[in-house]
Amino acid sequence: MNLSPEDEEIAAYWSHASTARGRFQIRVRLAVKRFAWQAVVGGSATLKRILDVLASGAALLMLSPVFLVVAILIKKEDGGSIFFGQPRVGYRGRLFRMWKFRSMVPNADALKAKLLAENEMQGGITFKMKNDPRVTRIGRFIRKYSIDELPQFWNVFRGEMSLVGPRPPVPKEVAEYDVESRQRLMAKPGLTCFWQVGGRSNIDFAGQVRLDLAYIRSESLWLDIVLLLKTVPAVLLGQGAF
Amino acid sequence: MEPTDTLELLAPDYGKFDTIWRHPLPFVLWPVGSKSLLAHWMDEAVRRNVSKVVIYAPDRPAEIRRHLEGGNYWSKTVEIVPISEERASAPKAIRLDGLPGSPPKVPIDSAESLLRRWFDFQAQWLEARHSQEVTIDMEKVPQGWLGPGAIVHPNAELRPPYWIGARTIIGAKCRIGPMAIIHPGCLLDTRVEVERAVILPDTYLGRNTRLHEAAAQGRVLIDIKRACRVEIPESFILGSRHLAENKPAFFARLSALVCWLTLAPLALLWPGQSWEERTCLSGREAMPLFTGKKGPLLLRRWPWMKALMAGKLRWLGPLPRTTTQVEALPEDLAERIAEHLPGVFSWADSQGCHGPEHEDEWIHAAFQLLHDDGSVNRILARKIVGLALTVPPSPS
Repeated sequence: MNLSPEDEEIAAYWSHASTARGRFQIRVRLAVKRFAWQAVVGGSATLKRILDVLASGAALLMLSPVFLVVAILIKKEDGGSIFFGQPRVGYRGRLFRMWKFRSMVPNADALKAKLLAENEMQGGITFKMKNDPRVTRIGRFIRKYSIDELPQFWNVFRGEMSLVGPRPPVPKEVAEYDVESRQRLMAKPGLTCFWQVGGRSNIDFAGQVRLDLAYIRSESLWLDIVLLLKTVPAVLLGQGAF
Repeated sequence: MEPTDTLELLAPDYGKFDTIWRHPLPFVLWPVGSKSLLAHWMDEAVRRNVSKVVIYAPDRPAEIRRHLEGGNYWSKTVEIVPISEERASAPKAIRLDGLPGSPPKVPIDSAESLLRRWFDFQAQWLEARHSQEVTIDMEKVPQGWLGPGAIVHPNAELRPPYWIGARTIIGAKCRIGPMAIIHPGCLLDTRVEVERAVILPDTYLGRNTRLHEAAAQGRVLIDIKRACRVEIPESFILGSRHLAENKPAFFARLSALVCWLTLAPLALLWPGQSWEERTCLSGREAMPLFTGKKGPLLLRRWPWMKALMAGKLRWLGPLPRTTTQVEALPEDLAERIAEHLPGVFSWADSQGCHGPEHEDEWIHAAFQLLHDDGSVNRILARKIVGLALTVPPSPS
């Protein structure tokens, strides 16, 4: 009987596997393969979490003087609360409280209903206004330079968010999502992502979903570092923030 | 559009037919492509824009409740109604034995038909996938999908339709497809052939193997053609992709070593201490285990920490049993016991039963195994100091 070279190779492999020495060698090879998977593919999630913990921990420590100054200014302006905790939808739809410096008047949610007709966000699911009357004086400044977002380093430290990932939507927005758009919930939400770097609030909802899915598709530690570096000039120039 | 209606679903009780796969989850939670059958129906609830989903569940309702996590992902209010039998559900509830939009033609009335139905779902899902406009997976060729982070060797041959999940590695000279569904986290070694087959998450498929009309999960192979189940003993043929399969984590072993060293003088010098040897089962393997007769549980079970270091026990799990004690258990519980490592501390300990010889202990062991996702272990971990210092009453 004539065997093809491939068949011969397969036969030789199984004959080798039937000996104790062969099985030992194959098991060692298997351990190496499993380790390689862990190092190449599985390790990236662990590295991402390590980066999140180290960077957010360092940011919380280093930015504590900024936190103090902003807290004093917010308290001085209208005497309301310093932080604003809003329920957001995280990874796989899990709800969590996302923290921000308060940049709006204390009864902002009640006023929102009256302003819905003036929503400038295309697609209508998210609500944004360039000259939102609910924003306070100090709020306008901290929003322009994204200082209001700094308390989210706490969310990152706790593991509810990541440094890089799609922005976490509010439950009311998610309720309007179709099945396809919900796939953006398949990544841990983050402080910055493609659309914050690209044009921030100037991108329509469908574009945001496309970019978020593109991020999930190509997620890697290297991409996260690149996006973080690109976020710095976008924040300092206040591009698209309002 | 304002949501108006309620979608009523019946999760059919096919547990009685699940004699081949013996899946730990009810049929509606079996994976169909990238998500469970029930998740496909929850997507349908989003499409129908209903405000509430009611699920009548005669089979393992707690697992269904845990899977849906309150329906937050779909922004739906979900109510799980446990029922004793299917007839107790609402008359207009939709029976979940088909994918949305494709009602089943043949009823499920045997173990074979249950497996076949599940297998047919996979092909239906793969065929319907191209209708989705926006997906996380990348369509490499028409009907050929690649998940995020998946790596395919350039020498591998991919024949659509196929779906390769996220973070899966396909080795050299592999032939994938047609109709191959490979779930996330799998590792396919050199020259593996997968045709009309499903490989479930985190599975390793060894070199020079061929899978045809079959499903593989860990070391369990389900032959769809012959409707049978085979457990492959050799991990280099088929097994889990994890580095340490069903073994305690490195930190668990390290903490055991620290405890074993620090407690040694106390355990050995405890007044009146004597040791009883029993041959217990760790999974399917036998292991000798010494247990002290005096002092708190931590000192009585001091030798068990050595077994933990060797990877034969874990910190929290059902108590170790002898072969005779396992054989005396109901068959499905004995099977579950064999699939899990026993623990140094158990749920039964927290309920005052400190050995398998206690008449109620097996009930607590079953409860712990049914909740082996960590929910029970999290409660136990909070009580661990109290448990460790418990002094069991002497047998009268």
